[in-house]
Amino acid sequence: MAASPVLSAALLASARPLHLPLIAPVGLAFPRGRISEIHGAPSSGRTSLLFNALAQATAQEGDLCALVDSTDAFDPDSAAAGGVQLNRLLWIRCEQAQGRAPLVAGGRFVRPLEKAFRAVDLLLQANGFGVVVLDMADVDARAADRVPLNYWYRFRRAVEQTRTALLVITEKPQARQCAAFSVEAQRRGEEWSGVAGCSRTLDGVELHFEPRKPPGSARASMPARMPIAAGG
Amino acid sequence: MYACIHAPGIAESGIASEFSPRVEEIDAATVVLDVGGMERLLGSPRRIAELIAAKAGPNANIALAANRNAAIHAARGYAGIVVIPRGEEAARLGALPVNLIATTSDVIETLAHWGIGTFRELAALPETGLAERFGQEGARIRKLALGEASAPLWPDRAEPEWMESMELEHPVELLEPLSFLLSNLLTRLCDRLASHGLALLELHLALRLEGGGVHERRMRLPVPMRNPVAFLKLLSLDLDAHPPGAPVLGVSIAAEPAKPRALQEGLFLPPAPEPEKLELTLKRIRAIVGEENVGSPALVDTHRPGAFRVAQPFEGTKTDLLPPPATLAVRRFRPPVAAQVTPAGGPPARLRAAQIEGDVVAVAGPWRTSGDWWTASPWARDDWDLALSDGALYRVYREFFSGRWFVDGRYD
Repeated sequence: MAASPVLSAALLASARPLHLPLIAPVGLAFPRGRISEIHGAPSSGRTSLLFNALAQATAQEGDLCALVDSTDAFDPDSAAAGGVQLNRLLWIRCEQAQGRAPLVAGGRFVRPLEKAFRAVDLLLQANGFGVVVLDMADVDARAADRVPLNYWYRFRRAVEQTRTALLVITEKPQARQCAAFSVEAQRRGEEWSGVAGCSRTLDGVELHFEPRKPPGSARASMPARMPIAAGG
Repeated sequence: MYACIHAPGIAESGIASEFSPRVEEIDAATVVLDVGGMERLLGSPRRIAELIAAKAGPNANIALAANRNAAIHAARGYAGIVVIPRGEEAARLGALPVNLIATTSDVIETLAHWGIGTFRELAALPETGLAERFGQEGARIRKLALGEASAPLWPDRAEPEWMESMELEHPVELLEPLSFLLSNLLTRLCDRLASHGLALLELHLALRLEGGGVHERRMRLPVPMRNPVAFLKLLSLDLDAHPPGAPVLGVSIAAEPAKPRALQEGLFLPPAPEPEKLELTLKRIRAIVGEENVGSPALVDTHRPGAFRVAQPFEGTKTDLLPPPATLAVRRFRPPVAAQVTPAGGPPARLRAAQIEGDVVAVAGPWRTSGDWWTASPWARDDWDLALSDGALYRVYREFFSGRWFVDGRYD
């Protein structure tokens, strides 16, 4: 009688090496155990690229992910439309809504950006997350510039011992030499259809992603369609 | 897995207690004990039965079965050792006489008139017919004959009380000395739970305060744990966020026990944070950003734009989905930013809001949406997509009832 294999062929075929980069469907590879930056102007497609990567991590690779939302801008509808599996995502909202009492930690007022950095630090220490996102896309550039560089060094040291991909979304590059991968998002055009003033619709945009670091990384492009939920 | 010993005077002898802390005395000659989980300690069910038989003597009947009632019937009906594997109860009990079933003499007499003498014959009768003649008792005795009627074990000895408490001679005002006391109590509680092979699922902390009040905190854990250090950190963070209003005169910690978690991770599954560590991390983050700002996003069954709720983190299971085509993401402004749009009545030509200002380069819309008109907070709005001269794409809307404009979010 032939010995039955301990690991079935189907199991081996479905297995994914755990420390390979997170490859977003658009074709960009975000290294694990490193800091990656997605930067660009508003409406350049940074968040669309983020959802593309999170869809791969949560729905395809089964990772638990965390998103630290420093300006409370995350939209669950468009994330779900982009393929993100919401029940595998931890959402941490750092900016208090208008009209609420300021949050106090340790007896003093803590600014949203400081809360966000502290939350990311704790998440990295917890280990085990596939992707941790620090969303600073709407943070004022002057406030972002004031973030001490040692935060980024601390994050780099914390993440390099793990298989977590730390993604940072900003308007301008912030992590500088601490980022192993940096990509600039650019919007190359919009697709409008219909008659102006009557039935005109925004159907989608053409997004282009230009890696700035490391040199020689492959570029990627993505036609992003309007999500059904937001398209009305 | 239950073992039943049937022998004269077995209840008095106390032999069953040598094998399990959970023993139920059925009568003077019959006891049932819970031997679940003893396989690793004593060996196979047959081996367990042999060890019990060696203690109970040659006149004892020993039966092991997955179900308490099946074990009782087998021990009373068969001599020697009987081990009934799960699922074979009906076949193995079939030959037993029906008068072993604990029921009224009328029922036994009626069955005898029908010519029903064994468990097998009783089990072969239609359940509906038995229920019509005997009521619920008919269905019950048929289940007993099939070996399917399962009843919980009622141990003679009361379950231990999972509580540790301490009264203080002097009131404690600071959390740091209080944490020393909590550490002591938690360690004792966890040691006791460990000695019973249990873990802790829910903690109930009660602090008796100076002036007569009681400060209570309840903490439910995502999985049963037995780590006093983790509990101490969780309790310290909780007390930090919800401190008692007066000095503490007495501390008591009650626990809801549960079977410890036994989980084998998949070889090829991506690792996830350890539950203990995750709980602690979430607690710390909640202390920074607020209790209601941490969780998994969840969609709400409504057409109201931007509606969502924050659910417990990582509830539900992963479902493999094919990634849909890339979509354009929206970044919400919460709350929407009030805007001035010119001209106010027609398609927007210029937009001005906090930190946003520009001429409209391209515009799409409007689309009218409305909902919740049957509630106290109806909404109706005209949505527009705008490309502004600042280079960004915005979703703006005009409230139908007030005529006011708002920027709802930015495409990104």
